[in-house]
Amino acid sequence: MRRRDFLKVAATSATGAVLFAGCGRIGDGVPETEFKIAQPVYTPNDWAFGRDAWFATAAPPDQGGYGLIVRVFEGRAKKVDGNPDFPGVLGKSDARAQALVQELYHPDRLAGPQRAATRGSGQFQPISWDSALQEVAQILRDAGGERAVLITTRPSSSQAAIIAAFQRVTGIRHAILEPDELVVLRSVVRRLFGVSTLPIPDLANASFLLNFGAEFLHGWIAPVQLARAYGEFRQGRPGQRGLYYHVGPRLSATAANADRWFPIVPGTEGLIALAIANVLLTEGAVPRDRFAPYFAALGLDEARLTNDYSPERVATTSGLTAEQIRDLAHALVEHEPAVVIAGTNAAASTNGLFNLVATLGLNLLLDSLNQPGGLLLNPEPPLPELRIMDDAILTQRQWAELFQQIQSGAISTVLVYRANPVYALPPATGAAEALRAAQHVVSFSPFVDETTQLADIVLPDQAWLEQWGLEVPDPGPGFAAVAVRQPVVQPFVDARAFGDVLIQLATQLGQPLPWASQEEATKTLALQLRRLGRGNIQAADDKQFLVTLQAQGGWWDEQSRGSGTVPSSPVVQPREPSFAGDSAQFPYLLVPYPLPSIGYGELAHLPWLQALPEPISTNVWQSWVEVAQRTADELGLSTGDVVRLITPQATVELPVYVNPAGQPGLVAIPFGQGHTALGRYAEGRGVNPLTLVAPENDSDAGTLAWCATRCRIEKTGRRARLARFEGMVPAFQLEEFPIVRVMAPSA
Amino acid sequence: MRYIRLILFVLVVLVVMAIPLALVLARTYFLSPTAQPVKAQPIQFPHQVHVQAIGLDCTYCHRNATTSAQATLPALELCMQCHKIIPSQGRPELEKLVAAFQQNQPILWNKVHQLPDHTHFVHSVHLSFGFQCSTCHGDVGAMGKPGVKQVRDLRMGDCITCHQQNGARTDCSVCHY
Amino acid sequence: MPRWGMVIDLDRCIGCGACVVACQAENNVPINTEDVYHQRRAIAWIRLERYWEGEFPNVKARYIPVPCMQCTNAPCEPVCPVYATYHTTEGINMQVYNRCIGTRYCSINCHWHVRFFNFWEPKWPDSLKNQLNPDVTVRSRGVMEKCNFCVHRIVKAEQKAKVEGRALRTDEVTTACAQACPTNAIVFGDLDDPNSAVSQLLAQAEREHRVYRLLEDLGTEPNVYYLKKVDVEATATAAEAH
Repeated sequence: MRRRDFLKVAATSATGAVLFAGCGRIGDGVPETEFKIAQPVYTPNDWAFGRDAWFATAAPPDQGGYGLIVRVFEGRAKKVDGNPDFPGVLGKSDARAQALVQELYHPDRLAGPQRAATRGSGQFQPISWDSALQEVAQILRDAGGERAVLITTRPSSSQAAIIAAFQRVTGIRHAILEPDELVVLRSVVRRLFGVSTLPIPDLANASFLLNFGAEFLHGWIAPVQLARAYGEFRQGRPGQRGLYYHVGPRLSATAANADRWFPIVPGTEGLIALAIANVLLTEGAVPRDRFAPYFAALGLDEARLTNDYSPERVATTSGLTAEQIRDLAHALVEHEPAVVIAGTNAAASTNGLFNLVATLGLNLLLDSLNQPGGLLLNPEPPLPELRIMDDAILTQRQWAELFQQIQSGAISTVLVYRANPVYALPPATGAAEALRAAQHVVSFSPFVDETTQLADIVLPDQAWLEQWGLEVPDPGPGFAAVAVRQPVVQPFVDARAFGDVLIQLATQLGQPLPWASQEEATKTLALQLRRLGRGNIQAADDKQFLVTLQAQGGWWDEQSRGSGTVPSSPVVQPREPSFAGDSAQFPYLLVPYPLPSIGYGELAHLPWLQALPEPISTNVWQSWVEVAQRTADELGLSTGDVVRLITPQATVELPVYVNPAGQPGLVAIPFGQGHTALGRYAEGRGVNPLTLVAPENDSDAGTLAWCATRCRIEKTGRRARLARFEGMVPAFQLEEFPIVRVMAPSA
Repeated sequence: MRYIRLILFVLVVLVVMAIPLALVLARTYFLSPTAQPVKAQPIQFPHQVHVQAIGLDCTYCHRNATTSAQATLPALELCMQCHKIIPSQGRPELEKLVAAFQQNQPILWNKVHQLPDHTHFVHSVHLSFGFQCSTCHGDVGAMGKPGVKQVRDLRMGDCITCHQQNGARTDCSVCHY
Repeated sequence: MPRWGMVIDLDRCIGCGACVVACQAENNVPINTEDVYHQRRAIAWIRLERYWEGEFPNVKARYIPVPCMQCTNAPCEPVCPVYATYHTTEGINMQVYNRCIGTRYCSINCHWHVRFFNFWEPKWPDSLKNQLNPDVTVRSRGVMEKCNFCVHRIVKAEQKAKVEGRALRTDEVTTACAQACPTNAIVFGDLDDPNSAVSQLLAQAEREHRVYRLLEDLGTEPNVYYLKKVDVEATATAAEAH
């Protein structure tokens, strides 16, 4: 290169660099970044001080219904946190509560009422609220109450009051869709302790916790309350650390926190509990008179317990040793106070009802009911209107009957509110076929889920942060508590609260409800709380009461505690678990499990939760099959290999995750994925395990036993990329240099 | 003549190297915030009339300046408190205001005072230490139509100098987070 | 002048991930899509790690939340050619986004891997942008980002205290992760204030010999303290390895 050329190049490049850099000036030039300041027409409430405001509201009913606070800035909800005043949670929250803002601002939220182009096409056209309401009112008028059914998820307490009033004027049937494990749990608590509300273990004061499978720290009945208490249980009392033993088939996210994990054959929880009772009885560790209600509930007597359920006999079926069972029994009486909880997997076997009765019944033997550090019973909701009717919660068997009725034409009109039976019930239940056969399907869901896809008309509900309501946390903190839900922002889209729509429909039908809106219903019910003349709020008049209620986020009365009865008649007979599929053909047991983040799939549309790694496998955004290390070695599998998972019901191909803590003989698969609708973040990912499990019922409870199917796996030879947080090499602690340092408890 | 080629070459080199330098200086001059022409605004709002003639305090309209990060524009309803009794016929700028209010349309103003990216400025703290609005914004009260002009550089050097002079913290995280 | 620090009690941590999501919500961290995970470019200012111990059936899974350690002698700082990462007077290791030119030297020099590079322009659907926190800069493509102990909350509290003409109160400010943590495993506060929750907790845990810091041997003096997991079945080796 000659000198002249070099200079030319140098000059051009220097000049070019300057010109290039000079193209943009800060905030200018690029239209998107051109700064505009909007001058609003009216001052929004929260602009009054130009600062952010925190408003109190409540968590959704299926997430615990506890008190929340939401940070609002310039009319937009920014951040959700726990209400520091609300009993039980005291300012704490979980990932699901944090993600509530994503429900509010979800890009796939329905912006207003829609009509399906043709049913099932998934194509909707916007219509006006007036015409939509008229149309639905006409449908209800034509069908009449007895030929219509309203399927909802667990409603908030004030929604339950509105639904009850709507039922009174229209005669419509109400059916609540809840996860099967909760249906079993509610039924057991009702029959064993004589209360309709769920109890809460007083972990903060307990010394020993024995847990049969309940995912109590990851999305079970009251994850935040229980997690907060768990912190106190472990390190909240100087010099005293609670001890936690976990009995269950998987080392789940919750089980990983246990001091000892007892891997068992799924469904044998109840038998183990009987063996523990056997040890307690034969060793005389607890007073004999405590056994009477336990025997009564299980239809047992002393002789049968001592003869049939010795640790040695149970050991062979359960996968534990007799010594381990004795250890469990001894731990229960050595550490006072002790409490026993059970749920999730334990409730999802063919003997789920028995499992829960036998395990939760151990609390009767320990005399831990309503004792500090024991199982606290919660009182009934302070107002009868706020009660959610148990008989509306259907079991799998009842759902199948209901869908039969719809298909036969006995029920012509189906209203669906936030429930997603097409996804959340196994295909054999016939939800999809029934909805296709129904004359009219009206959905009130804010998202187009699998069920809403089959609707003719959608009248979308508001997001939880946009509406009014009262919420009785179930389980409560051990005493009466009500959280108030208030809109923290102006409605973001042209949706209407479900309660408002029911009230407007009733008005159209010429039978107005006692309230003009969901807001009025909430406030009327709240003022009834004031009439009770107790609780935390001192107010001179109604207005002051409501203002204080909204500011504090709730009403609670620590004096109002629950009381129950002991069982006197048999609830259930002892029963061994059974599994669908021939054990020669299907050598492994399939253990599905709910994800800590997206649960049974109802939250799969929220990207933060989808992107939150499952704690044990650290997998995200998809489905996978968990195989034990030993099984993987036998089959020559490694993480990322695609296998064919075959059950008597279906065959799917999924990538493998080799779990070092997996129990040989078990294959685990997470719930939550496999959506064909529910928005861009949920659709087309993974597999819904409900399509894999055999439609086995718990013959006592009538619920689906999703943990009672055998399966086999075949190598396909292909590999898939697993989206996960951990690398492909499992992170084991180095013995000489552990990341998580562990110490033995100081004496 | 012996060195003419060398001299010429040095001259050429100097000229060539001066081009980018000149461009940098020119850019700094022409693109500096204070050298910008007055921005076109949807309404030619005369501060002069409101501040000098009527005597309104800055915080009468920009009422959050003392309490929050943003000084904030008032809602149109505040404008209309006075302007509903001030005739707007034949005054095109006022007609725009009334029309926006009646049509429930927010007005989108062009931001005049641009801070660099990734910077957080909090009005309330500065005002609480006794600074006047005019310290940074100049005599806005004297600015009539067509609108407000930025009078101070408001780039980082400017901020730092002022912070140093007044003993304020100059830690990056005071403004950048 | 406060010296900010954090104490994470591993015996309380249950691995629920509330801190992870709370941090994303507070700090405008972009959504970690499936693609991002495939490329191993997920951004999580605080993350939950799980370590295995032993073999089935005597297997343990241990959780540990890992935010930035806010090292006193931070190895990320001296390698930055443009001084984009620096130490504040209050002990926080800050990232100045305007200065960052994306050399990623700092992330290579960080042993905890808590610095994240924006490989793409962060994108949200328009409606989700309504949730973005106005107090926190949305980073652009090509810059590093990291946990800064929710410095915007600290600055806000300090400004509020200044306007009111008082000093910062004890435990007046907390981070998003500590606020959300349902088991109170994460505690944030001023290490120099003997009355603060962190100081009290540290003093008590020190007596029980539970305090340690992650990769302490490197001598970077992290300001995040961990309290050891307590386990009745603690293996001899794990318990001895102090």
